[in-house]
Amino acid sequence: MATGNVALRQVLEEPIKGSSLWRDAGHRLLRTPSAMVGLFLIGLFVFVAVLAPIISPYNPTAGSIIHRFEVPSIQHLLGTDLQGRDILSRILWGARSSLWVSILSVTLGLLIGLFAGAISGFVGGWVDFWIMRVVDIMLSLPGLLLTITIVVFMGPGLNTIAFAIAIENVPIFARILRSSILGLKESDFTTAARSIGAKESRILINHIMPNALTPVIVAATLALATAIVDAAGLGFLGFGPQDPSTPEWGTMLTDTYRYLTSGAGFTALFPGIAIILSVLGFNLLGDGLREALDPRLKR
Amino acid sequence: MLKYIVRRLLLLIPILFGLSLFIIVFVHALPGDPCSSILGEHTSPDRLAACRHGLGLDKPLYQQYFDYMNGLIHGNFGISATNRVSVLDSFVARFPATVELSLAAMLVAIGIGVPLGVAAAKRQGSVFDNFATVASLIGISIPIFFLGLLLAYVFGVWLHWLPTLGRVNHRLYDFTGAGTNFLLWESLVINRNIPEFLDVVSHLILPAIALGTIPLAVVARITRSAVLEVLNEDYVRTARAKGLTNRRIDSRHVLRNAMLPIATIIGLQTGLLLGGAVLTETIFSWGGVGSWLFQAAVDKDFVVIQSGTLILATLFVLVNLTVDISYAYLNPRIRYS
Amino acid sequence: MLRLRTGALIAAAAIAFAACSGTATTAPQASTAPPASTAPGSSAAASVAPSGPTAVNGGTWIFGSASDPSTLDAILIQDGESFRIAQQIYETLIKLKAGSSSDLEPGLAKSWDTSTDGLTYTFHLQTGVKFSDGTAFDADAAVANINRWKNLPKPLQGDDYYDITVFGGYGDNSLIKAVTKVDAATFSMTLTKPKADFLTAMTLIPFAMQSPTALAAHHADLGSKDPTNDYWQKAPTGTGPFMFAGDFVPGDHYTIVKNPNYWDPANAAHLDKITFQPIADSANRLTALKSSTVDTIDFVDATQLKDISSDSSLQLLTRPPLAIGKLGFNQLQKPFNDIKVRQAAAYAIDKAALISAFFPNGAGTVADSDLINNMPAYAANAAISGFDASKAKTLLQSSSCPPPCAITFWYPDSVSRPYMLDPKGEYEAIKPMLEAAGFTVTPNHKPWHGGYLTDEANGVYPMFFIGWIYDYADPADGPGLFYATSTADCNGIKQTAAHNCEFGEDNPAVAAAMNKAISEPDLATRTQDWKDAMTLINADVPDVPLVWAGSSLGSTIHVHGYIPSPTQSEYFNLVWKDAGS
Repeated sequence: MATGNVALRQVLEEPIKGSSLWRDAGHRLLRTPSAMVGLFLIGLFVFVAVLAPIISPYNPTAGSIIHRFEVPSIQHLLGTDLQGRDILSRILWGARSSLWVSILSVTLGLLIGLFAGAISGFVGGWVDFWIMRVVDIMLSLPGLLLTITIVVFMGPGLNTIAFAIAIENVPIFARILRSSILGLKESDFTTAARSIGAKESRILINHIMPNALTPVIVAATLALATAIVDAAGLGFLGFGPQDPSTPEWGTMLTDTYRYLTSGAGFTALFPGIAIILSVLGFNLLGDGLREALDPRLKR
Repeated sequence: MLKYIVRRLLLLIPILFGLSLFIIVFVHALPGDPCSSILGEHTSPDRLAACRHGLGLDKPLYQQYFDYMNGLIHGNFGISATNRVSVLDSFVARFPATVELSLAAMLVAIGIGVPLGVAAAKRQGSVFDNFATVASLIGISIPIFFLGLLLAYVFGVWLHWLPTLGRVNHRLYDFTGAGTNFLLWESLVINRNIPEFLDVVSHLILPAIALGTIPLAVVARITRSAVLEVLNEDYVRTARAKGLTNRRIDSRHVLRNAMLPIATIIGLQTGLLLGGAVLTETIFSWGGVGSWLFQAAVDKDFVVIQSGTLILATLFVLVNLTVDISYAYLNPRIRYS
Repeated sequence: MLRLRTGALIAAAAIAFAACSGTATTAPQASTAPPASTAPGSSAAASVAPSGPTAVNGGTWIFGSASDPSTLDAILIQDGESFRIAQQIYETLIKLKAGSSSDLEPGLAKSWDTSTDGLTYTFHLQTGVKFSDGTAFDADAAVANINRWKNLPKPLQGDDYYDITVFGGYGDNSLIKAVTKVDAATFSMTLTKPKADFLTAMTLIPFAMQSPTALAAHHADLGSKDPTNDYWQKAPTGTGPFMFAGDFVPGDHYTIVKNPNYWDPANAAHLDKITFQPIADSANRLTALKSSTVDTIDFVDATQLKDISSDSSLQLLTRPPLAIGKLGFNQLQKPFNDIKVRQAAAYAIDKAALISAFFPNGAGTVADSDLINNMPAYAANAAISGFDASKAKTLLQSSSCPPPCAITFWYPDSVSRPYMLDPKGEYEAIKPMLEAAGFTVTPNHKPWHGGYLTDEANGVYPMFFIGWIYDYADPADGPGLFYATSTADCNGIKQTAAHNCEFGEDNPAVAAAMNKAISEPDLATRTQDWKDAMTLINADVPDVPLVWAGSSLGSTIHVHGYIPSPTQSEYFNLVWKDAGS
């Protein structure tokens, strides 16, 4: 999404120098309180998503318009929605949709993006030139419109949404991987390995790839965050899951907003808060990772 | 340098060419077409076929692409199927609204983001720094539509402090003047009307905050890391050792050198914002490019989507090019090959 | 040749002329004449047009509309926002009486005669009328306009809607056989076959008179692809009480000003200027009204009606319903080829609960027919109207698709129509009702303009939401279109005989009854014909009528003289604002 992706695109502009000091990074990460808060939020998010069937007080899809817009009570802690369904249960189940979309979209995006980026970086020449032009084209398209177009084209559904968001991330991953490979190809340790007679394939697998992936990992963490925002934004614009009873935070937000004046309008806040907390979790972790992996920013 | 610019400009050609192909294939692969918007409910298949024929949608795709490109080469961006207005005219009429909103959002982002980033860097590791970091992360984490709705509800509907929709108060603003649609400029310079100008500004505040929050967070973070890096440079230490005042060091050395990455990110963010803020424009009923293209997407107005996206993408590429060139100009150490 | 005049015309003319005899400062006549329509919502019109205060001249009225106009070349107009503006700058030969959906009154024609065979109409024009560009409106101008409808310039063909809908084709295929000038103020028009609703159709603003000089000067006939055609954006020119003066910023506003040389001074506009500000989101429109950014807004969301009616500084202006929202079946698709399955679905739906949730505050009423309950041919309880869950179960059990009966239910995305404000929400509410009767429901959805409408029209969907906003209160403009047959190839089914794509309603008795009704010139016979046709149609259960919906405007109490019309033929020359507001 044009705006959601801004944070992610930023990684393009401030690439992180690779560091093989993963263990150091881990230690540094553990000492960063904000990253730990992020990890906690992500843990909570995953916990809720996995255990939603057990911890939800009600069936999130069962309801009747007779019981619409009940205010929060002991029975329904966050009240009920337009269809008389329990909002708390829907928020808990909604975590599943968000988690699924974010993981699927980032995995797909990584698979395609890394493949393209690796080929571009290693092969170089005309292949590199054309792959990068495609990347340029994709980056210059207004993101949200591209995503909507793909969703409309492929028909509604969470998997479609994930795919559309993945496509948006492909050029970003590809370009990050390519530029770090290019940087590492000329780096001192590659030259050193080459000078002691190491095979190119060995250099590639043992030396370049692990280091080149470092910035990609940071970007992927941040991409998990933007995927949640993007999916919610699509839901807000009316491009939600195939079966509208599937709980999805963005759709829930729109539905309540539409009837803001009918019932307990403040219930629109709850799915919004759920979105912010889960997104914040991934952003905090991504930020912590970036700092931990970047030796320049040692504290 | 000149060679570099020429090379970059030449690179634009395959990109734009690829873009146009990409967009037209994509748009036409979608189900539905503008005839559905034109004819509405209970239309007969014959009418649909006639409408498609009228718009040339029954031709093979390559033929449509060729016709479209032929028009583009002659400077014809096409006509909207739903309102029969030249796409270029619509774009020119609406773009000023998007420009004003983007600039205002960037003003928010820079005006708050840069000082925040500098202050955080200078107190690295302090409570303030941590607070600024987390605050900027929260800024990135709020979905823009949620923030927009919240701002509109709290400051507009609830407190009645600020207008939440449109660009001007039509009781106040006199549109019969210059007709540039750059209302800030018009009201201040041409109409010389301060109440009008203040009215335009007041309408800009909420959408600018909604749209500017993410760039603000990004700018603050980049500023922080750029300043941190400069603070660790030898010449700053030297300057400090020479006994220069902090203020002098800040203005002479730190900010000037940190400006490079900051300027880059500002340029890039502006490019992104000009792409039309669909969600912000929708929430604040802002008559800009974003809401226009979104409506075209809903109406399946092919020509508008194609040409509109193409114009925006071109602008984005040009802004990036400008940023790169100024980067090269500002930093002669960078090699361009 | 016996000259006929409809009774409605005489009565309307009498009221209009009686009121016109006063000076411009008296209250507009319409405010004292109760609207002819007897629909429940029309009482609101009377309440906003008090007979007490005297109309004030002058002032600017800011109107919060939903979007920009799409075109103002009258014959191409088809959307409500363009209708609204065109209604003020153009005039038709015959007008609908303010607030009515069927009563005619003179417009640019003082009077008209119809030949006994129902083929030739002779119009006697008002004299001394000028277009806002100063050229004269006379028989020559009228003939030029009508010839333009008949022989719509090639580049415009396909861009029009009402021309082809009403006249069926262009050139030799047009229902218009010939149009002839008799003298400077008289012309006659001959049709190829009788059309019962011809005079009513002539009140539609697409059939308004435009200045032939302006059309030519701005190359309107060259079509939209020609860059020299800037007619509707720069110079839409009519005879109406308002005119365009060049102030249009797309996405921001469209402004019209009082026509100082309006031909009928007694009906000249009160307001100096009207600015239409497009605000797409209904919540934003309400905010704009409440913060006095605008004076009046249209299409108040059903959930917000209470916000306006409970605010003493605001008033609600309600249009009587003229839209029908429904659930359609395709009888060619399983399991809906079995009438028992259709009946079961009809009995399963608790319409009252649905309407109270989605059309609250009186925004809609439970429907039991494709016709609106204020139309003469309407008969109560014609369609299955009651909610009976056990009957639904029994019917389904005895059908060819016993429970669990799997069905696919289609609803549209990215749309809100007056008769279908929240399609997704309505689907979600109906789903448990159908499941209670023994159906297993799989949802599917597509964007309204992203394939939904075309697929639906082609008979792809077995069960779907659809609806209709009548242009005027005649069944020909409703069921006459829904169940029309064609030989087109729909949903891949090559038909040798004529066939109804959308609903698969191929009952030959229905087709015959509708054809008889559509070409019957006598009003009373026609009404009975439609009653007969509707009985046949309803027996087939081609759909479940859900809701009759109107729409509402919200306004500050400083606006007077606004007469809401079910067809949105609303005349802004009658509107005035309190001084200083």
